[in-house]
Amino acid sequence: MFSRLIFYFASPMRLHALAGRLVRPLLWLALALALPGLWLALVVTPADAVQGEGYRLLYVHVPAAWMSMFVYLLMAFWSFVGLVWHTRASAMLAHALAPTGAVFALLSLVTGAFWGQPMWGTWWVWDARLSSSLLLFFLYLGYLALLRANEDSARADRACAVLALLGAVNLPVIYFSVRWWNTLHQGASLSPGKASMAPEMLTALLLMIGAAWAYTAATAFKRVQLIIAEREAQARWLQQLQDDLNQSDDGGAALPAADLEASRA
Amino acid sequence: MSGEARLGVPAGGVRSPVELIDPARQIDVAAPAWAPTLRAVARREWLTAVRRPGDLLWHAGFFVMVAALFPLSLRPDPATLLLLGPGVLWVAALLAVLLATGRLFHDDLKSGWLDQCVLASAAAGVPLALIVAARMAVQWLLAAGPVLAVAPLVALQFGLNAAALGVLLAGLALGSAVLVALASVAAALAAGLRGAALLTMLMVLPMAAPVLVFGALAVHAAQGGAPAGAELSLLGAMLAAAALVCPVLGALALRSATEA
Amino acid sequence: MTIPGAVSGRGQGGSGALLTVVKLVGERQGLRLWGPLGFELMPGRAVHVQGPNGCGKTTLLRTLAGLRRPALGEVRLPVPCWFIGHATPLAEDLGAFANLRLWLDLAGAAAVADAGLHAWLRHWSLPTERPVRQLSAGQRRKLALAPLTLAARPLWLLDEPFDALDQAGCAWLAQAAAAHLAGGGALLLSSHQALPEGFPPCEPWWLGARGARKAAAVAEAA
Repeated sequence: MFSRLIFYFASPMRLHALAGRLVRPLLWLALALALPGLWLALVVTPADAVQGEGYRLLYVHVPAAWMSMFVYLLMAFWSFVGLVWHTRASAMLAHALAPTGAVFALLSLVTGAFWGQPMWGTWWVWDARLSSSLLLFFLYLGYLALLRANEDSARADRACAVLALLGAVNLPVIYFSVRWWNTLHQGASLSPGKASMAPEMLTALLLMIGAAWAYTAATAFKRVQLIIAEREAQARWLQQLQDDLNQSDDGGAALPAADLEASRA
Repeated sequence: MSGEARLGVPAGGVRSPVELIDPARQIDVAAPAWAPTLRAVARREWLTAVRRPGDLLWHAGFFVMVAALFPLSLRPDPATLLLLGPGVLWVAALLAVLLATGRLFHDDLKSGWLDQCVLASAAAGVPLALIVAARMAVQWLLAAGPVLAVAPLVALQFGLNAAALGVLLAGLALGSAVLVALASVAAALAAGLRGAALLTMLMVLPMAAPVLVFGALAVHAAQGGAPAGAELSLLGAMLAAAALVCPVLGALALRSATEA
Repeated sequence: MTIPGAVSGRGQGGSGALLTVVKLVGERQGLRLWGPLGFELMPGRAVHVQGPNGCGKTTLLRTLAGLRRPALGEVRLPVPCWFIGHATPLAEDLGAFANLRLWLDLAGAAAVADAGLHAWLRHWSLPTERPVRQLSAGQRRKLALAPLTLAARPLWLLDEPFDALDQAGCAWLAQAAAAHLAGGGALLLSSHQALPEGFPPCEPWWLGARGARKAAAVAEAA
């Protein structure tokens, strides 16, 4: 059932239509989740005993970090689908997701820096989470650079798919290695505090994560619409020609020449 | 005109096309053993590099130079050197290996040799991944060999003791193989594009971080007298995974490069 | 008007055909180059693909060889073939003999003896050990075409083979092509120039806007 759904929307035309219908509702959903989430985060939840008001950056930092990782895994998933089943729409979805993921990675870096500054007095700490976010940001940059450098769209799709898969396979290794490195050197660590999370904090966090997810989906669909529109010229005539050829049983014509008989040896 | 004008080919060396497609004769031209194909790929890589020994020396020289830049820019007292040594050596080795592998497939794509490789793999039934793996193996020898040869001298400059040096060499041998595998895939992805060398580096650097971390940690541990077995076996595991995954991905990348 | 060659081979399941093409369409950067094509290349048939620059001759040859996936349709290549592209797949730093030996080994023709390679190089007075990058363009083109006679295969796909080739080289290629066709092979080459003297007669095929229009007209008439 799920695979049938994927293949149904593998046609860029249908994906374009679906995306068009979903962008607006998803943006509203993001807003609907973000407003109560922010209200809870900024107003309702008490300030942390140790970190004061500054810890509220957590409510932006954690969703951004999680989404940046989740988006990369999603890109890898669509890349895998595209490579195995040769669907062009999945590659376009991966391309559409990449910039949003990169923005979230950058956001998690910046918010992490602002969060750590009051505590540690410096604008950057080499803890496990920030360091792996930095590496993830560079993975995104590599993907976007490869996408930019390729002019041929077919090669761009496959090359970026391979890169996304390679990066996804490396991602757990990167996280593991950075964590190992950090614990051995007993460096700084950013965490919400030793106390267990109050329910309002958890709710706020979940709402913000939901809002980030909806926003990601909305921007990805909007972007995929643009990508499909860019490539639409090819899709249309190709689809038309395919339908024509399927209907006519003609195997296509040999290229004729004016004087074929005369030139035959 | 007579049919069989073959220039200078001894009798029995070549068969006529009709025989080749005659099913009754069952002459199998399209599926010989894999060994000649893989050997040809490896030998070409090796011979081309050996004809330019300057390049090999330059890999070693680059390694020495980068490693020398760090003490020059910092305090060269023994304590600092001891602290910096493993990291500096690993970063320099990483850069040297990445630089060497950056343009691995670029010239072959332009000259049409990659086309022939793809066609030969289809005709002979050799998986393209194996051809890529053969090239990665030879490239490892060419990129890591000079670095490993010169590493003891540079390690002396940083005051590494014998145990740490041994761990450094073992770690470099394993880690450079992983780096060559990753960089080969990146080179295949970027082959023929503008700014290929820089693009390759950008793609590989985040993925090279684990190798760097584990390799440097291993040498740190050996410096302090602790066993480095855990980190080295992690490097070995990464090499095993890379040896399986990277040739397949590299073959995919090469196919998309030749299709363009 | 139907084209006899195109119709007669169809429907026989491609028996004996060295190359079968069904509903093939080629595109580049989103624009249609040529197609839809359907034909069978029988033994002894030679085709000369012509057309203006940029009409897709190289794309067609690469699609037929299997390097490039067609936008639509399929190519069936049941026999081994030699695809010699526009560029010369030679390692610049290696000598002529080493290049030929490696190429033949790669392509599965390792059985060809070294003596044959040396004799071929002697015939054309090509230095065996000097780096290929020091040879002239014509000499490199001869080297690139060497496998055609050193290791026989039923189908030849040649992209601009006469580029930089001198008269002796063209005569040799003509002779080799004639022998190949007489022996039951097939040949499809592309060249934007006219064929040199003495080359066996080939069916001319035209690519480009004119060809596409003609192909559509024939498809309607058929």
